Amino acid sequence: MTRLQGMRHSRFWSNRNCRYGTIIVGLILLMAIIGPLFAPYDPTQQNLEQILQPPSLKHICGTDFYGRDLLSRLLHGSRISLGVSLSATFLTMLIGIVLGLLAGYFRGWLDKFLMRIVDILLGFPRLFIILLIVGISRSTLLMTIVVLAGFSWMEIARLVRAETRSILTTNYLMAAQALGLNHFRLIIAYILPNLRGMLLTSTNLLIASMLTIESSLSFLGLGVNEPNASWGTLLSQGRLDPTGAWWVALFAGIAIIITVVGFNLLGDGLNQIQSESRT
Amino acid sequence: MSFPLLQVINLKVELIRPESSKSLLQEVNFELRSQELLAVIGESGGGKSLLIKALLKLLPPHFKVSGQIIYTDGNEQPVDLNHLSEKEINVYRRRKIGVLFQEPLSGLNPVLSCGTQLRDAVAFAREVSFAEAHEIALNLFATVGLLEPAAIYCTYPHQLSGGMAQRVALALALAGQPRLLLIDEPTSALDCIARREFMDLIQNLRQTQDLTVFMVTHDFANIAQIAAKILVLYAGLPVEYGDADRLWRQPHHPYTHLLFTTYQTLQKGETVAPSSPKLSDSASSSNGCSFAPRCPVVQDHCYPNFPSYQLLPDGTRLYCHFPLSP
Repeated sequence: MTRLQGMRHSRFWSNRNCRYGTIIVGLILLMAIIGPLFAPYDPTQQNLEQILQPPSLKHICGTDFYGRDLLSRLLHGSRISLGVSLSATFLTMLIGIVLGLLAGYFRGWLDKFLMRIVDILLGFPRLFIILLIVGISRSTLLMTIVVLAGFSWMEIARLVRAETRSILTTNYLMAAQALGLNHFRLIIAYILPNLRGMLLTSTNLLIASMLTIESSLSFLGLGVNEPNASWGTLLSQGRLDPTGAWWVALFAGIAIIITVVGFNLLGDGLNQIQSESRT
Repeated sequence: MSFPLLQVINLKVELIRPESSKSLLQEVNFELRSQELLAVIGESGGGKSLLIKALLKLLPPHFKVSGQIIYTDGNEQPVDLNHLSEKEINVYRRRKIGVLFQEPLSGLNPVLSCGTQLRDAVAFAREVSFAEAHEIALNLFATVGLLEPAAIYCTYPHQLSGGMAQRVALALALAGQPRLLLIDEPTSALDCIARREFMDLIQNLRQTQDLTVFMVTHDFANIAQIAAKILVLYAGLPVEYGDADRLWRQPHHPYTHLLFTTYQTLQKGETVAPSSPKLSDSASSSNGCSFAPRCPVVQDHCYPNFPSYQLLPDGTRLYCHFPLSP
């Protein structure tokens, strides 16, 4: 058994996407967890004598219009950006898996009902409807997370439903039914573990897309409130003087890109490993 | 003491489609007495595997199963399995009836170790704790002739050889200490030594575990020696059903005769010309006897008339207008 795990381990590391994805994601998560402890300044401390300082030894990423240190804001912002996208992803997966399993496993009217809801929700352009709801309601982080998940679970539900239905036709499921296992046990021990690989891949890809949407929202001034800032907020402040004070937008933009690329690499890599092992 | 464990009366399986329905199995009648072995033979596509799934109500909803499947367990009231709810039949699937499907490897969950699967099944069926189930599982692996139960326990299905997978699947089928074991073509993927071993194992289990066996097979020679009754399926109809011994020595139905003589010719190393037309064509092309297009002794009377069933004095059931040497 240990040999098997070892094999899988080395296959994970020998895949380039997985390797770099893991390193990038690991560093980004490390930055979000312990980064704020090393922030040189208070991220909300205004210093009007030092506004719009270009990057220097004193302020490595420069300062913004209120003289706040951008490196500190970036490090603190990583918690908000990643926190929102990770929890929105978690919620999305939860809703998507539960509803997808219900629809795929029990079929019948429940399946039809749930899938029509999915069709209706997929009919809306996602970003606009999220903008609308976050815009007209009191925009808090929790609200943003709920709305993000509320309009993203449909693809996951569809995937899980389709995969569940294909597992239902396998011989091992019929054999398990012939053993008289109940629905709960069949779902927990037979269907969910067989969805594992697919879910792992889509989680990583979902985190990347959540981060993009969250950044778009805060770029438009929704979601996180001043003086706190996510990376999207920092990016939008750079929009005021992009040629003069380029550093305001640059570092936040780089952080977003690197994180999105990291999660996408990891998701792609996991997908490659699985399709290799299938053939 | 022997008693009828399973009685199947007028079982019929239809495939329901929106525009039409097709009958896949019809007029299946047989009786399986306790501790006996009933063999079902016939060519591919004849409905043998379908019969096993129908017995356990494992067919998807667009298959309509009618008729009675009566199960009695000695001193218990007879129960018609076909008219039980999903919840009620689960009791029988867990404790009374085990099943070993064709291609045992595909019947194992690829992401759980063999031991975990067996432990779950045992814990579920016998309502014991996981720790007890673990012990029982190790014993079961030993019972089915796996040499290192502890090692097998941690093995994943893809690491097993065909013969081992077969035994693991058999252990799973025995998880609930069933009285009745349904086996679907157990020997088709094995060579003749492994085949012999497997049949010996089944014979051994029948004695030690008080098992009654319902077996779909192609292995005529071995089965004729150990089976009590043989049911011959052709295109969904049990054309002949009777004592194994008599049936093997002196088949009444031309199809059974053809099946056995073909087999014997092959055993001698001679080649056999393929019978034409194919099963699927012949079954649908006539509204008379479905075997008529292939029958060596066919007569004009066979074509428009579906043969009615005959009960011979020795208990043989037969669907033929002109049986051989009755």
